[in-house]
Amino acid sequence: MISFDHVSMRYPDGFEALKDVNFELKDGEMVFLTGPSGAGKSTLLKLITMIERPASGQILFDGLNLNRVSNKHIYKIRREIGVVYQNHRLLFDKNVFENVALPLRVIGTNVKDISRRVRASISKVGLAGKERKFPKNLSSGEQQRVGIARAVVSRPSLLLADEPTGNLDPQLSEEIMVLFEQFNQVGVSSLIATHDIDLLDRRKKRELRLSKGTLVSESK
Amino acid sequence: MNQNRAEKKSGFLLRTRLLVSGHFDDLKKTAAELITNPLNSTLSLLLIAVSIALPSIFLTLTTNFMSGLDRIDESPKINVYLREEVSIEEGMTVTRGLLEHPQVSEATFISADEALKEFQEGSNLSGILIALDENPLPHVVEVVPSSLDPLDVSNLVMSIELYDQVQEASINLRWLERLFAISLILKRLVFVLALILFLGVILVIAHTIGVAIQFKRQEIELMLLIGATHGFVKRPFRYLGFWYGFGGGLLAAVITELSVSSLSASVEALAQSYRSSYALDSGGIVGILAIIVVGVFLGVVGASIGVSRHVKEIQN
Ligand SMILES: Nc1ncnc2c1ncn2[C@@H]1O[C@H](COP(=O)(O)OP(=O)(O)O)[C@@H](O)[C@H]1O
Ligand SMILES: [Mg+2]
Repeated sequence: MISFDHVSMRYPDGFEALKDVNFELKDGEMVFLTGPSGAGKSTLLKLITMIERPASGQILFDGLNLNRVSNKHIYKIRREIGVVYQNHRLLFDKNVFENVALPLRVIGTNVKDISRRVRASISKVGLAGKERKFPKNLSSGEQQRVGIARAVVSRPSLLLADEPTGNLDPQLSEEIMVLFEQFNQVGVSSLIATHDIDLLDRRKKRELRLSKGTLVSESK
Repeated sequence: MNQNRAEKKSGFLLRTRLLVSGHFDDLKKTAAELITNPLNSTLSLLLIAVSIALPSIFLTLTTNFMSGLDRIDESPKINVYLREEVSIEEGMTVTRGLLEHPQVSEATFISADEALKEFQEGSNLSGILIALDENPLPHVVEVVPSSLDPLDVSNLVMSIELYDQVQEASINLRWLERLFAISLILKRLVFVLALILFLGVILVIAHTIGVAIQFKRQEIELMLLIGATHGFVKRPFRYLGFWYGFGGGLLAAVITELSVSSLSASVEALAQSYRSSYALDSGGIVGILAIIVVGVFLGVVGASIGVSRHVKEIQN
C-alpha cells in the first residue's frame, strides 16, 4: 500500500524533520505511528497526502512513485485517502450530513448515492439521527466521529489519522480506536499517529516509533 | 478504491449531467450568498454599477451628439439673408432664380414674419422680440447645395453673394469642422474614461472575490485536502464574479436609462429651438444588453484574477 524508501524531509527553514525513513505498510494492515511530540509523525503523514514533498528518497503509493505525481494530479492521490485530524477540521457552518458529504461532492457523486452513502457512514460511526445537527451542538467525541465518517464515506483504500484521540478522554479514545479497527477489518489499510501508549498496549498491532525524525523501532 | 474505479467507468453522459448540475448548483448557491450577505455585496454592486453606468451615459450622449452632427452634415444649408428693402415678391423671384442655379438643389423662401413666428415658438427669447415694435429679422432663403464638396459650397456662397438683393450668404463650415473635432475628442475621452473605470471594476471584483475567498479559507483548505481540484474550488468564486458583473451591469443599465431619459426631455426642447425634432436614443434593448454583457465580462475577468491570486495563497 505504502512504502518509504530512504525518505528525508526538510522544511523550508532548513529543519530536517525526517531522516532516512524506511518502512512498508501492507494492503489491509493497521499500523500505529508513535513518538513524542515533534518527532515528525504529522510530517510523515503530510508526505503521504502530498502536502509536503520529500527532500530525498521515494514514496510508493499502491506502486505509484509519488515523486512522479505533479501538483496538478495530487487530487487523485488524495481521493484514495481518508484523513482524520486531531482537531477534526469540521466546517461549523455546515451540518453533520453536509460535512460528511463533502468528499462525495468533490468527486461528483450523484445526489441519490450521496444521500445513501452519507447516511450509511454516519450510522456506522454511531451518529444515526444526528444528520441535521451542527458540529457546535455535538460533544467532542461526536465531532470526532463525524470526522471519521467523512474520512471513510468515499471508501478510501487508505485511512490516515493524526492523533485522532488527542482531545478525548480514555473511554472515548477507546471507542474511536474500536471504530478504526472495524474499518480495518473490512480491508481499509490504516496508519494511525498517536502518542497514547495505553491504546496501543491493548492491541497487537505493529508500531513504528519515530524520534527526532528517525525511525527508531519497528515492533510487532 | 474499487468504488472509485467503478465511478470512473460510469457513463460519460451521466458525468456530464453531474457536471452541469454541479455548475448549476454553484450558480444558485453563489447567487444565494450574494443575497444573504447584503451589505458588502450592495456596496460592491453599487460601485460596479456606477463605474459601468458613467461611461455608458457618456457614450450614449456622444454617439447621439455625433449622429446629430451627421444629420446636419447630410444637408448643409446656406442661409441667404436678403437686404432689408427687398420685398416678399422680389424675394420669391430671387428664390426662383436660385433654383435655376446648377449648384442648388433646393431653395426655400422664408419671409421675415414666418421667421419671427417660428423663432417665437421655438425659443424662450420670444418675450424680448415681442417687446420690439418692429420685426428685426430679414427675409431669408434657405438654400441646399447639390454638392457637399466644401470648395463647391464656398463657390456657391460667393456667387450667391453677388446678387444685388442679397445682404449676406452664410454657411458656417468651420463651425461644423470644429464640432466634429470636439466630438472626436469626446469619443476618445469616453474611451479613456471607460478604460479607467472598467479597470476599476475589475479590481473591485477581484478584491471582493478575494475577501470572499479569505472568508472561506478553511473550507477551501479542507476541500483541497479531500481531493478537490483547483477548478472545483475556484468555480463558486468565478460564479460569484459572474453575479457581481451581471448585477452591476443590470443596475448600470437601469442608471443609464434613467439618466438618459431625464436628459432626453431637455435635449428635445433644445432641438426644437433649432427647428428640428430630435430625441436622445439610449440604444434600447441592444444598449441594455451590451451594458450587461460588459458587466458580466468584467465580472468574469475580475473573478479570474481574484481567484487565481488568492487560491494560490492557500494551496495544500
Ligand atoms: N512548517 C514547518 N516549518 C518548519 N518546521 C516545522 C514545520 N512543521 C513542523 N516543523 C517541525 O518539524 C518537527 C516535526 O513536526 P511534526 O511532524 O508536526 O511532529 P509531530 O507530529 O510528531 O508532533 C517539529 O520539530 C516541528 O517544529
Ligand atoms: Mg503532529
